[in-house]
Amino acid sequence: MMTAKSQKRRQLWALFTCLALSLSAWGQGNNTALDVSPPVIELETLDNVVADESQVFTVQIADDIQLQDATFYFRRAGQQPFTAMSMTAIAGGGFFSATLRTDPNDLRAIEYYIQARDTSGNRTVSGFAFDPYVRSLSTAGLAQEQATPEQTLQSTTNQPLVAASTPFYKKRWVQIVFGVVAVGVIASSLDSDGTDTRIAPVNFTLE
Amino acid sequence: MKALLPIGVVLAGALLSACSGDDTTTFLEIENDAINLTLPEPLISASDEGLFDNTLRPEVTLSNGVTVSVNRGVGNQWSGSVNLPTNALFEVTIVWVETFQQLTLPLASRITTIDVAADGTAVEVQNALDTSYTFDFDFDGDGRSNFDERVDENPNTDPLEFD
Repeated sequence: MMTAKSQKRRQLWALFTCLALSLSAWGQGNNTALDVSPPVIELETLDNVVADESQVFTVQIADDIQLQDATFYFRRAGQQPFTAMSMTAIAGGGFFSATLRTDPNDLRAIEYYIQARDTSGNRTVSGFAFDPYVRSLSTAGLAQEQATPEQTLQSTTNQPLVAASTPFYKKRWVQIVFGVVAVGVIASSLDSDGTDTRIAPVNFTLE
Repeated sequence: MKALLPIGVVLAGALLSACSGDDTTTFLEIENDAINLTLPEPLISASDEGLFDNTLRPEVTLSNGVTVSVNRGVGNQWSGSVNLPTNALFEVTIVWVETFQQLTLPLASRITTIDVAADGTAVEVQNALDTSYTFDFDFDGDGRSNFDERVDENPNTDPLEFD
């Protein structure tokens, strides 16, 4: 099982590798040197999520020449073999996604790792079959209850930071205010159906 | 607690709605340019020649049944004002009448349309700008219009008698 520290280290390493690849490609110019640089995988893991009808896994992959494919390997906790699933490119920026159909009542964790290959045959793996990433699943109620004391403390101490990064329209009080205004406007328009008469003075001149 | 939220929102909306409450009539404070209705030139010419001796007047009625009270100003100028609901079209009928032998004798008429916009501004509808008047009132039904019989210098013609 990976710690948060090791994940951070892994991400830093991925960034460093990406930078090195870019510099390497820039230095090569138009030379037709052999491509020996494997793709770089950037993955932000979700460790504990609510069980639902599907689980989405998203990753960002970069390659200095040409990426060939990205494969998502997964298994449920307790199973032995991993199942391979091709990841689908989404939007731009090298994002790939895999959607796993799941049973909301099946709370077995999902163990997975990701492989990316470029057209030169170079291969990178994020996570390993012997040490896969783990996404734990829980019901909606349990997800909150199972938050560790450390997580709770962290979320409490970081509260201002979290609040600042939350889009205003997602704040509950903003939604309530908009809801009240919207309902009021609708009710008002229904209520005042043709009963609000506006009168204007009109002058006539004959000459 | 979460279940109470939608109820609270609906109640608050109802409260806001209640603020708009009963039927309201808003009188707009707007200074409209006057809608200028032209005069029937043959009638005014005859009037200027002293034929009608200040017995002419326009009757202006609207399609909503309102009659515009019109007062004479300087010379051949009449003006009047009326309060109208906004955001509506009104047909305006102008009938020039003469008080003749204690009767109100219609002489010329014209129909046009005005548009009172939502903001209270009122204009004459462009496609109704046919300023011509019709003079086809014939009180006695003798085939000659009231106007023709009134301006005819022949003393034997009378708009009130079939002749």
